[in-house]
Amino acid sequence: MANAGGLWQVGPRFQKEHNGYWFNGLRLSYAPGIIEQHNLAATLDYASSRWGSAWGGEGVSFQDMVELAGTWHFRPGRWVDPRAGLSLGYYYVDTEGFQLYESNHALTFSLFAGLASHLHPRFGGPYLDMGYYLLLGPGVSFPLYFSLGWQVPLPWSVL
Amino acid sequence: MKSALNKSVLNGSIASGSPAWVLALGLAAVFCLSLFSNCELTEADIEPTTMLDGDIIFDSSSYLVSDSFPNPSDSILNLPVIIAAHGFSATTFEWLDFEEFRDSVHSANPDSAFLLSRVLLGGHGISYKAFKESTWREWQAPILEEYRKLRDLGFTRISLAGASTGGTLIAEALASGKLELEGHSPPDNIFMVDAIVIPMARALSLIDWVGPIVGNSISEADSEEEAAHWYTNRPQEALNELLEVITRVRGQLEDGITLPEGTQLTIYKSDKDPVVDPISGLLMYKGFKSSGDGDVSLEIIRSKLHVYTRSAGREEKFSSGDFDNQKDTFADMRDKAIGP
Repeated sequence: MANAGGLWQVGPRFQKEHNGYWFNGLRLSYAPGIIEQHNLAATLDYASSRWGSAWGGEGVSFQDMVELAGTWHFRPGRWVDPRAGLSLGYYYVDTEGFQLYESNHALTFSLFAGLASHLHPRFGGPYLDMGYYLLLGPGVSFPLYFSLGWQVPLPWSVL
Repeated sequence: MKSALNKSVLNGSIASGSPAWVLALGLAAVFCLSLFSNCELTEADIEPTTMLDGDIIFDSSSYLVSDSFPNPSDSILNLPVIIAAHGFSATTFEWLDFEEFRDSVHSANPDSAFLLSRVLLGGHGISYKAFKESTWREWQAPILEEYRKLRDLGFTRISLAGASTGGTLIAEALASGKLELEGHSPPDNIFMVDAIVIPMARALSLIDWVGPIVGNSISEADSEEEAAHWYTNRPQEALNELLEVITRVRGQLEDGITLPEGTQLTIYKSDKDPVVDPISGLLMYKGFKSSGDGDVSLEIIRSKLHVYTRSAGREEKFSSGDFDNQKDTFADMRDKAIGP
């Protein structure tokens, strides 16, 4: 039953900005122990418009984000697990040779809250969050977002 | 062991339950408070003697070519015409500088260069009430009406220019085929000046949710002239219409908009525009596709202004560099409208 190594999980992340674009990607998460016993989890995401609205789109810009988040689960491991967290990120927009901004890089910061549902204690999701970017990069003007996805444990985390 | 563990977890989660929900509510409050940073939660404040919003000042002057030349001669019909559409909350005043440029450069015979038809968007230039009740399709209608009238009169060299939302409305018309008139050739040129696809104001993306709470957004004019030619009060209904049309055009650009055969599109975008995110220029450049002899070009202008071509009403803010930008763009538009 004991899992001294912590729980590593990975899965897709789909993010839709309210009245904006789709940014999709991958999430890697870590919880220090069996999920039922720990409220805190950390996640590392890569999300991009390349895998979202820019996929097959014509007039869409390429925007990439890497975000590190800390999440507090209020009912870890349960079927209905509300959670809240904050994330710090790095954002880059490709302006395709045109000088549109002083810098195409930016720091992002968002607060989010939502629900996770652990179909199995080892599964971190599916989850659905609503969040708000207090710091945004240039080229996006849609601070409210919804993200959803699911997580499956990485092989070495399954006991 | 498992049941013992479950029991301890259950107890633990009940104990941590109440502060958890308080935190969740707190977060919700943070979201809500930050939404209102750009808006003033006030009712419309109208000073009828000085503001466009009131009933006294009414910009009904007609600057339409179709009105000025109801029976155009062949020599008139041979002239290039530029239909110019202003932006959100503005009036025909926004394109006054272009007319003055033409008149001063071609002072001997201004009309010999090109004809300028300044369209007044629906719901604009009237009153706060008219603005509040109008839809983006009503804003757009006068552009389409003037285009059709000029074609019916026999004009063959027609270009369209849009400032800010005026450009967005022209883009929507192109995407929806509203400028395709049977038996008539397509527009020669489309000029976009700081057309809006992505706004700088983040609150706009939330207006469909918070609109009824916000009610009205006030944008104080910087001068008497501006108060007389732009609406000061922007009701949430109008902001919602704006959000709707920019979202629609954003989607149309995602799908790609093919220009009519031979139509040239020139996108002018100021790089430090405080109202429209410069990425809007790139999105139009990527989203519009030329066909036939047509071409799409994007020019980034070094400017801190929104609709950098407009000096009327804010001359004291214009540097010599700004006047150069204005002149260069007007000359470029004139040259392209006249053609080879």
